[in-house]
Order: sequence, then structure tokens, then C-alpha cells
Amino acid sequence: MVFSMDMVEDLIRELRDDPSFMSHVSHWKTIPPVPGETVPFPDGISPALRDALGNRGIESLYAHQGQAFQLVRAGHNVVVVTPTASGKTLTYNLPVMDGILKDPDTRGLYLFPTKALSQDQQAELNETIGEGGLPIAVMTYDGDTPQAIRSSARTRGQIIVSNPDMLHTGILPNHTRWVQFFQNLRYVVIDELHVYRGIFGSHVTNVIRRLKRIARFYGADPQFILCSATIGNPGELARMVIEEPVTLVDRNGAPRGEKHLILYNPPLVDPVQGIRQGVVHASQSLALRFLRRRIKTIVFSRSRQRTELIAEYIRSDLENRYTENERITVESYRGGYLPSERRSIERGLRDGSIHGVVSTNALELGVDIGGLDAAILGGFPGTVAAGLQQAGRAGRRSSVSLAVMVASSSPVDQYIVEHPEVFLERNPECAWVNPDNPYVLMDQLKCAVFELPMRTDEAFAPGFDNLLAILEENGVVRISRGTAHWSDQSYPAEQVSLRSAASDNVVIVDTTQGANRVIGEMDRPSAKELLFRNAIYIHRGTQYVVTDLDIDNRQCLVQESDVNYFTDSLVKIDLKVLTEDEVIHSTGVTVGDVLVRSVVAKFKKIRFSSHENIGYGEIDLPEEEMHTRAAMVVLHRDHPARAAFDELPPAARPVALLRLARLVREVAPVFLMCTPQDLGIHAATRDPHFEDPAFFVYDRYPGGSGLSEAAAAALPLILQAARERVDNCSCRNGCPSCVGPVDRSDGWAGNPREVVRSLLARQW
Amino acid sequence: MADLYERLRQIKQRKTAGAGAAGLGGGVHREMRDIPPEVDWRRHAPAVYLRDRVEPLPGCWSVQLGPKGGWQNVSPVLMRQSAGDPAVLMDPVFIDIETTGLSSGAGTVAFLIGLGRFVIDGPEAAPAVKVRQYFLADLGAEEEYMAAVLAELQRCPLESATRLYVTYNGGTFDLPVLRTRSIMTRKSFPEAVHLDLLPVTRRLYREKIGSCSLSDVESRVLHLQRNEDIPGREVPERYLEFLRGGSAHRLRPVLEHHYADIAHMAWIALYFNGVIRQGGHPSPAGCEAGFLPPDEAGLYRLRLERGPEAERPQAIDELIRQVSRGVTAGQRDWFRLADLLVTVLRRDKRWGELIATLEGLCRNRGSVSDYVDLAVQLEHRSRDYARALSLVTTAAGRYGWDPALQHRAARLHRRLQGISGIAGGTPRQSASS
Repeated sequence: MVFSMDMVEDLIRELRDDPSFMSHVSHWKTIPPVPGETVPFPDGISPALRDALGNRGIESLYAHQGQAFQLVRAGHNVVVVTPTASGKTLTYNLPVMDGILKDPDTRGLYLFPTKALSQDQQAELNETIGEGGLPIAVMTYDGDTPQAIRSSARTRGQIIVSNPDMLHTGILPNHTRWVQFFQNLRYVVIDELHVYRGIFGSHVTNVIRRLKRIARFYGADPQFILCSATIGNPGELARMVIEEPVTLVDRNGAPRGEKHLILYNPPLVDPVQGIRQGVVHASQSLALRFLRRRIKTIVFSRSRQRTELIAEYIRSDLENRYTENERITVESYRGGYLPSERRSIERGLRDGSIHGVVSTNALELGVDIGGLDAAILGGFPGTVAAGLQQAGRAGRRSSVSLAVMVASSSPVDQYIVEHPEVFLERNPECAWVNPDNPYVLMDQLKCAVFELPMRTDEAFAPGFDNLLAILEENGVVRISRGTAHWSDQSYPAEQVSLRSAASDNVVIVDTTQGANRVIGEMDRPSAKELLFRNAIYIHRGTQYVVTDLDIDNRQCLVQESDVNYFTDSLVKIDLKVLTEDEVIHSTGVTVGDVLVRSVVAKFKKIRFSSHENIGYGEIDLPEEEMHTRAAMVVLHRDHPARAAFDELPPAARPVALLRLARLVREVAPVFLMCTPQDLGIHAATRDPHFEDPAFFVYDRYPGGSGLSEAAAAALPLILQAARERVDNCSCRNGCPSCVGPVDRSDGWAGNPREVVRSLLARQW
Repeated sequence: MADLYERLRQIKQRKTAGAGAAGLGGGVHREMRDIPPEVDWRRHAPAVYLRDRVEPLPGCWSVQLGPKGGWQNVSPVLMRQSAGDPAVLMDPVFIDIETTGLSSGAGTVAFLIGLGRFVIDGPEAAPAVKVRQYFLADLGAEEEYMAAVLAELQRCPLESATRLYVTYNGGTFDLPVLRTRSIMTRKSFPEAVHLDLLPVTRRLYREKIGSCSLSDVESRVLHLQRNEDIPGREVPERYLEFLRGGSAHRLRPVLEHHYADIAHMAWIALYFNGVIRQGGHPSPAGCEAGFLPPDEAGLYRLRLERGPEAERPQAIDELIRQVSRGVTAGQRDWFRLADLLVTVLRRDKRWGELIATLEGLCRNRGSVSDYVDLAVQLEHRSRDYARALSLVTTAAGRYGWDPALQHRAARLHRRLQGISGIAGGTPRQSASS
């Protein structure tokens, strides 16, 4: 069977002529093809490099590549915004390779967020270098690099391809083995910059601080070249991460094929209760329709569990041994698979042996899976930036492609269906980091002192001297002659993970029939919510039941199972205000520290296909305690919503406040670069600290990743969106698309939509 | 870490209360901890101390010592010299360090560095090793400390001699750490020829004593004693305790341990050189008598691996002679010598001698692989299929048939039946290995 691109145009015609499809399309945007804008090679570029590119059929540059090259040559740090298929790699390879060809002592460091991306990159570089016979040594240096070739990589590698984690644990603490490299370090390339946000970005910002410290020690002052997907503030994020001025290049000169963006709102099954056909079913049937038309399709799903479900449903629909499943191969893909499994799926997508893939956002990143023709977004992926990236997975430079976002009944999805401009026209969200989170800074400070004694008046980070004082009290740092020295036996980088809790993973072991096989892993907090005893865990289409979760030993035992439901846990939260640091005047919201205690006490069993609730179970796991930052919305006596709040029947007050808080959390990602899972909420009819009704939106990362401050600033926009959702919803008594349906367990049987609406009636 | 915020709050409070030393605001200057590790140490600079001690060596080793601490008649095997030139005079420095941590990396400091040199005064005087230990009493003084160490390392009393560093596992630990410390203090580390005694020890004694730590070698090979010792892994903690205000008294075993490491390294180096030069059979009257002799096969292997190319044939001839004498002393030792010889002869493609050696192994040991190895040689070199088949049958008779043996036997059968026509078409490649 041939999977071909012409089929896309046929499919688009067919969809347009299908009234049952079109009646649920809330918006269809056709982006016309864009011709490329090219410029000649800049003067003075190395002739060998020019020839090598000529060999690969590159005779001119896209405008943004040319501009980036000129800026780098003039000594600027540059951040380039690079949509899919815009010739991103050349924007940094060109100046770096040119620099090395002109002075072979020059060294460059390339940082990619994952090993898989590094491998893709080295393959790409080697092609240019190999075919052009260029004398440039590119070496990958990561956890997979064999010991035997590490030493030659350190001395011979002119371009070192690595990742922030390896820089952090392997390279910086051993910088004395990299003397030549650091002395000659002229270029640092940071690709996929948009990934370095939140807590990961906060750590990476500190790793860059450390990198610059070490470079300075060897007398080097490297230039930074960064690439980012489309986000709201690429220039600002770049400046935050490298803490230096950066010039933004965002004029894309690459050609693009015609592209169709469709917002699809599945039919309302019950308009009164606001129940729609589920995203899982809608995505699955669209995917089947596309795949049967021989269109290479990727389906993005919002959770690991849904990924497995959708893939499973598609496979079982295709299952037919007489037609060999119509010769269509569909795989699922998500974090938690073993690297070898992932690589083989990626390969299958590239070589065409896999026709469809259902993935979490794991494939959002630039992993090379070749060109796909259609993308189905099973629900709004949380941020506009991620939505654009996922939609961008379909599409090539010259052919027609198609992306369909299937709206779920969640408030944010329904908001977007009503406001397609948010997704299709508005700038995507901004990303931010909080490198001075004390937990992050404490960890990073240890690593920095280990690497190079630190003068107590050095400008490492704001407030670092207080942390240094704590380290001195702990005895791991010794201050002598105004300089802090590492004075502990440990190797601190080993104990610090740049990615939240990654070193804290629970290993999942399949013990079916006496087997003892590791099938995946999961971070500890998620494990408590997803891998509790008797939870149903689905891995690559196989269903398992958890027989034991041993949090202390980071181990979870599972066995294959065959039940007709999956599980969902209920988390109970208690929150205590510790400080009020700042009142954002424009919004009247307070930002400060809070202590959050959470316990997972119960779970629901949800039947496959019908998704009805068929029972509860108990969970017995220890409480989690976390010190973090929160945006606090207090309904003071003179607050515009206070009068309405006081008028509510007492039993309705907690419901109104909690439902409003949930709605805020749900729509916040339209304005903040996060997912609802990054935010925690809590509501109190009389908060003991403020002695007033209040609700809280807190950062789920200890110490905060900058999210609370951003949420406080964006609150007017978020509330406006929440208000519109409540006002415009098609339901009568509240539904999943606004404040949630009537729930007996609330202890109040009134109309939740009405009470939330009353709180929002006056402009805050 | 849960109390991080609480501790930050306390520190900020103390700061505002005016107790300036609590926080660090404004580049706080801490006093250095300038305490000698023991009373008899000399203060070289603030927080930098040193001590010299002389350890006598057996007088008979004076033959290896030249004037001004030179080391002569050093075996090229020990030195991994490509051209054997025993006339070269070495100027050795024995080096050993103790560190603040066992991991590598820029944050691991060598707080104790010891340098040992041979001394011999006049022709009648007894040889000795003079050990100088440098102690860093506070981390802030590392620059002066490293300057002193590197100046001593740079000193080359013998102008015409080859500078040599002798260490025990210095290839992976002591020297890289010293290079790192030099870079960290912006100084250059003087490079020299390096003799790491650990790999030599492993070849010569692993078979006999198992673990080859320095203390195992000195007690089990040289029968030397240590007075007050401490396991190496406890060393960093003792020093860090001292830095955090602990008593210097608890450092004593560390200092002794470190001193003994260097002194004993000198013994090992002289003994190894003596015993290697005598082919592993020290004369009963010599200095090397009375110590545990090295493993013979290990010594041959060392000579073949590290010795000059020109001396290789002689080593192989000696090995052939020794093996051909048959099992004289320990059977196990003879097997190991014969196995080594098989490896060497196969590499050098000396098929005739290889077959003879394998014949010997079949007679004396007769393992399945002995029979198969010989059968392979007979099949491919001498094309003696009948003998090869009978060896395979014998092996099967003794140990039972397995698929590999069956396959081999079947192929040999076919070869015997159609000797002329078979050469190209049989699965020779896949089966012969």
C-alpha cells in the first residue's frame, strides 16, 4: 500500500463535502503556501563550506539563516525562532562550521534536551561534513558515549554534541580534563530553547551560569546561538536563560506548503448536561478515517493513559487477519518506554513501515520522524505553543497538510472553540524560568562550588550568600580567605537532577507469571497518583494491575490483567499560608509561600468505552508535604465578589469557590505556559490566615518555578476567560466544559454554574 | 531540605540583627585554620606544613642505586621501554596523595601529598628513601601549597637522568588529581615518565594473592608491617572533621598511612626490578630472597607485553623450553604457562610449536577445548582429518557429545569421505570457530 501525499488533497475535498463532519467544524483555516525568501551566501564565508553545502544542493540561504549568520559574525548572541522544516540546523551550523574552518582551534558546544535529538544532529552534521570532506571533528558526548572514546572526544572534538544533564554531571565537574576545549570555546548552541522553561529551565539557567564561570576561568567568553519553537517571548526567554543581551531573529524565510487547520468540536450527546462525544472516540475515528485513506497520521493525546487507549482502539478496529489489518501499522509512543523501543518506533515512522502513531507530547520535540501528512490533536495540548508544535508535525515544505484539533469538553478546549483566534492568530504563551528558586539554587550552588571555589562577593546569583551560609553550617562548604571551597566527600552533581524528580523515579516491574522485567519508570509524585496498589496501568497496549507500590524503594510491581475498567485517583489537599511577599496591584492578588499537604486517599474505577464510574477503592500512601509559591485570591470585605459570596447559602459557598478555582486552573494554560497539571488549587470559605474566603493557585514544583507570579499577573485575563466560559456554555446546570456537573459528593445539590456565575457577575 | 525556608529565614534574621558573621554579606573574611597536623611538622607558609622522614632500605639494594638518588639497572620490562637500554639512569620520585573525596572532579582536593626520593650517601652508606609530606591545613592556602609541591617535583638533582614518577595506581588517580590541582591553582604540572606499579603487581601476584592493594602486597609479598593504619576510605572523613574544627590528633593514622604508602612503594619498586631482572628466580643470596616469588606465567606475560620487541623471541624460547620440560612443580602453574604459550604461538602463527604444545595439553589436561583446539589445528594446518576426528571422538567419549562436537565430527567425516572435492562448499567458516 502506498501512503502518498496527493491523498491529502482528496481527503480535504472529501471532508469539505461531508456535512456530518462539517457541522462540527467550528473553524477551518487555510494557510496558503508561502514561497521562500532567500539570500545569497554572505561574503567571506569559507569556500570549503560553501562547496560542501553546494554538494547538498544548497546554493543560497533562507533570509533568517543569512541574518543569523551576520549577527553571529558581528559578535551578537542570537535567538532564532524556527518553525518546523525551516532549515533550523543550518542557522547555527553555518556560523559554527565557518568559525572552525577559519580557525581549527575553535570549539563549539551543542546542547539538545534529549540524547535522541543529539544523535539526529550528529548524523545531520556528519552528512554535511562527510560529503564535503570538511576537516571538522564532531563528537557526541553523553551518557551513551563509551569510556574508550571519551578522552579523544575531549581533546579532538571541535563540536561537542551533548545535553544539559551531561554538561551538569559529566563535563563541568571535570572541566580540568577539558582545558583545551574551554580555552577555545567560542560558540554555545542551545536548541529547543522553549523546552527550558519552568523548573527544568530554572536548573538549566544555573548550569549556564556554571558554564560561563568555567569558561571565564579559562579566559573564554563564548557567544550563544539559540533556537526556539514559536512561543510568546523567545527573546525574553533566551535572555533569561543565558542572562546576556540577545538579538531575536524571527523572520522566517523558508517556504511552506499549504496547510489546513481545523477546529473540530465533537457532537453534544446531551446538551443539557453538556456531555460531548469524548476526545478519545472522536480522535480515534478521525485517525481511522485518515489512515484508511492512506494518510500518514500522528495523533497527540493528553495523557499516557489515553495514548494507550486510543492506539488500542485503533488497532482493534483495524484488526482483521484476512486483510493483515489492512496493512496499516499503528504504534503508541510516550515517555516511560525504554529508549530502544522509542528508537525503533522513530525509525519505523521515518522509513514508512509505521503509518500511524499515537503519542503524548513526547514527540512534540524535534525528534526526527520524517514528514507526516496529518496531525490530530486529541484535545488542546495545554498551551498554544505546544498546539502549534503538534500541528507542525504534519506538514512539509511543498505539499499540503492537515491538522485537526479535536476539542474535549474541558473548559479550555471549549473556550478555544469559541475563540479560534486564540489558537490560530494570537501569540502563543510566554515561557519563564525562576533560577533563584532556593531549592534549585541550593543544589546548583553546591555544584558550582565543587567546580571552582567561589568568592563570597562573586555575583553568582541573587541571595546566594545566604545559601552559602547554610552550606557552611552544614559543613559541606568551607569558607577560607573570603572564598568558599567544597569540603565534602560527595560529588554533588550526581545528586541533582535538572528535570523534576527524574532521579527519584519509581521503576515499574512486570512480575506476571514469575517474570521480573523492568517495563518502564515514572516520577515519584505521579506514581503516587497513577501506580497505587490496584491501579490499572497500561503499557504499549498491555493492561497491568499494580500489585505493590514501594515508595521507599522506588519500585512498583505489576501483573498483566484483563479487567474492563481503568482507574483515576482523587487527591486531598490542605494548604497553609506562610508568607505574603508581594501584592500585585493591578489584580489585588497576593503572591507568597505556602505549605501544601496532599494525600491520595481514594480512586475511581472507570469503565472502558462508556467511561462510566463503576466503583471506588481506598489508597493507603503516606502524605506528601511541599513548600512552594502560590497566587492567593482573597475575597476581602470590599472585594467585588464578596457580597455575592455572602449571599450564597452556606452549603453552596465551598462549592462555588472550589468550582471557580478549578475553572481558573483549567483556563490558565491559555495564558500561561503550563498545563493544568503544573498548577494546584485549593479553596477555603474562611482561610485561617486571611480570615476571609480565598482560593489559591499554587505551583506544583517545590520552591516554585515562576508560575505563581505569572498567574497573579495574568489573573484578569484568566478570570475574563472563565467568565465567558460560564456565561456562554450550552449547558444548564454546569458541565465538564465550564464549572463541572452537579456532583452529589459536594454535599449541596444546587446549580454550580449559577453560583460561580454569581461570583463573577461583577467585574473584579 | 524541607526546612530550607526556615533556615533562610533564620539567617536573614541574624543578619538584620547585626551578627555579620552569620550571613556572608559583603565578602566575609574567615580566618584560615593554621594548625600543624603534628608538632614536628615545619610551617612552610600559612596553613602549609611539611615533614621529612627517612626510611632505611636493605643494604643489598645499593647496587640499584646510583649517586644523588638515581636508580640504575632498571629493567626495560618495568619501564615499558621499546629499546632495552639498561644503562639509562632514572631519577625517580615516588608519589602518593590523600584526598578529600574518592570521586574525581574539580572539587576533590589532595590535602596530603607525599614525594619520596632515594638517598645514598657515599659508597658505604646504606640506601634509604627520603619521604617529604606536604599537608594543607586549610583549603584557602592551596595555591601556596601546590606551588611548594610543584617546585619540589620540578627539582631534578640528576641532570643527565630520566625523570620518573613512580606511583601505585597513579595512572588513574594520583597523577590526574595532581594535574587537576595544578590547573585549579593555575600552575603547570611538570610531566615525566610514569611507572605505575599497580598493573605490574596485578600481573605478578594476582594469581597468588588475589587482591593487589598496596597493603596486601607489602604484607603478603614483602612481609612488611604497618604500625598504626586506617582503611583508605576513612581518610577523607578524618580530614574533613579536622577542617570543621576537629582535633589534629585524629589525623595521626592518616599521616602514618600516607608515609608508609610511599616508603613501601620504594621497597616494591626495588624488589620488582630485582626479581624481574633475575627472571623470577632470585638467587638465594640476593636481596630478593625471602620474599614471595612472582607467578611465573604472570612474569612471562609481563615480559611479552611490556618488554622490548627485540627480547620477545628470547622470552618465547624460554617459555617453550619451560613448558616442554613438562609438569614438574605445580600442575596448575604448568597449565597456565602452556595456555599462555598457546596464545603467543597462535598470535605469532608458529603452527608446528603450537601443535606440539596442544599435544602436551591434551596429554596432561585433556579438557574438551584442548581436544577441540588441537583438532582444529590438525584439520586446518596439517589436514590430518583422521587424527582430528579421533580427537573429537575421544573428547566426546570422555565428556559426551554436544552439538558443536557433532557438527565438527560430521564435517570431518565428510572431509575424510570426499577429500578432494570438498574444499569450497562446506560450511567451514561457520563451524570452525
